[in-house]
Formats: sequence, structure tokens, C-alpha cells
Amino acid sequence: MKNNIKVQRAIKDMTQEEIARKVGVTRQTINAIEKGKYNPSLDLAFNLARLFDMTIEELFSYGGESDE
Amino acid sequence: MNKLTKIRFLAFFSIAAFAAISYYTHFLPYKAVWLWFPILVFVDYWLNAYAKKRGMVLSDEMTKQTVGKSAWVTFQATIAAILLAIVYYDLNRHLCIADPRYILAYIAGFMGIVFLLVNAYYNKKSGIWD
Repeated sequence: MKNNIKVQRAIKDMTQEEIARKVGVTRQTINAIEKGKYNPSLDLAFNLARLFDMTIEELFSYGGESDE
Repeated sequence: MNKLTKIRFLAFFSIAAFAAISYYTHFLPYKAVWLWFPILVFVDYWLNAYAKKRGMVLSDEMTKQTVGKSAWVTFQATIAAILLAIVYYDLNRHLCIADPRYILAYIAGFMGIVFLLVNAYYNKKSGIWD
């Protein structure tokens, strides 16, 4: 799973900590999602997309099987 | 590794070091070993309560998933270790003569160490400590 959270975060000038607080997860989870080490739940993905005023498809793209 | 984890490690190692020195210098009797567990639980509870009060998110879907995977691996490893011990070390015979408290303590210790190692591995892999 690929995502452009890092880009959107830079555009909005937000830190990982700020995003984590807004969507109710730890900063480490946002970091793991950005690095592609963790695939978020549908609930979290919707919350992230809503935070950036985007659709899930715009924020995340399926790039094949994950490592997990 | 976040600040809370660092403080937790520091607090726990400080308590463990004090306990070890106390026993080594005979400052405390060996029977007092059980006193340390409530102290550790209290420190852990207090740290969590303080962090929550400061608005820190302590657990989320990723940490729950990591702990769940670690617990499952620990359970499998424990069952495997018990079965191997029965087969290779003739534990059936030893169980009859050993104090059950020691057997429980060994199993608990094994589970604790395996859980810590596996959890540390999954934390590292999922980027929780980055």
C-alpha cells in the first residue's frame, strides 16, 4: 500500500504529532504508515483522508501485496 | 521509542538495580522480593495515568496489533517449550518431585522473556521505536 501522507503533511505544514493527535493514534503509527511499514485500518484511513480533505483513493493507492 | 517508554525503562531499571543491590548487600531480606511487584505495578499505573492526563495516546490499533501478535507467538513458544521439555528432559518424572511454585515461576519467567523479545522485534519492525 502506497500513500502520500508525507506530501500532504508537508503541504499543510503539520507535524506527525499533530496529525496523530487529530486522528487519535500515536505518532509512531503515523510514522509507520508514512514509511509503508503499517497498513491502517479502514477507520483510520477514512479519518486521515477526511483530515486532508481528500478521498481514500487520492491518499492511498494499492501497490500489490504488503510485507505483512 | 517515545518519551514515556524511555521513562518507563529508566524507572523499572532503577527499581530493579536498587532491589539487586539491596539483596546483594543484605539490606533487605529475600522474602521481600514480592514487595517489588506491587511497586512496579504502581509505578506503571502512575506513569500511564500521568501520560493520559497530559493527553498522550498510549495505545492504538498498531500497538494493539503488535501486542496481540507477540502474545500469540509467546503462547505458541511456551506450549512448544513445555512439549519439548516433556519429550527430551523427561519432565513427567521431574514434575512429580519438583515444587509446583518453581515450575510456575520458570514458565512465567520464560513467557515474560519471550514476550519482551518478540514484542521488541515487532516494535522495531513496525517502526514504533523510530
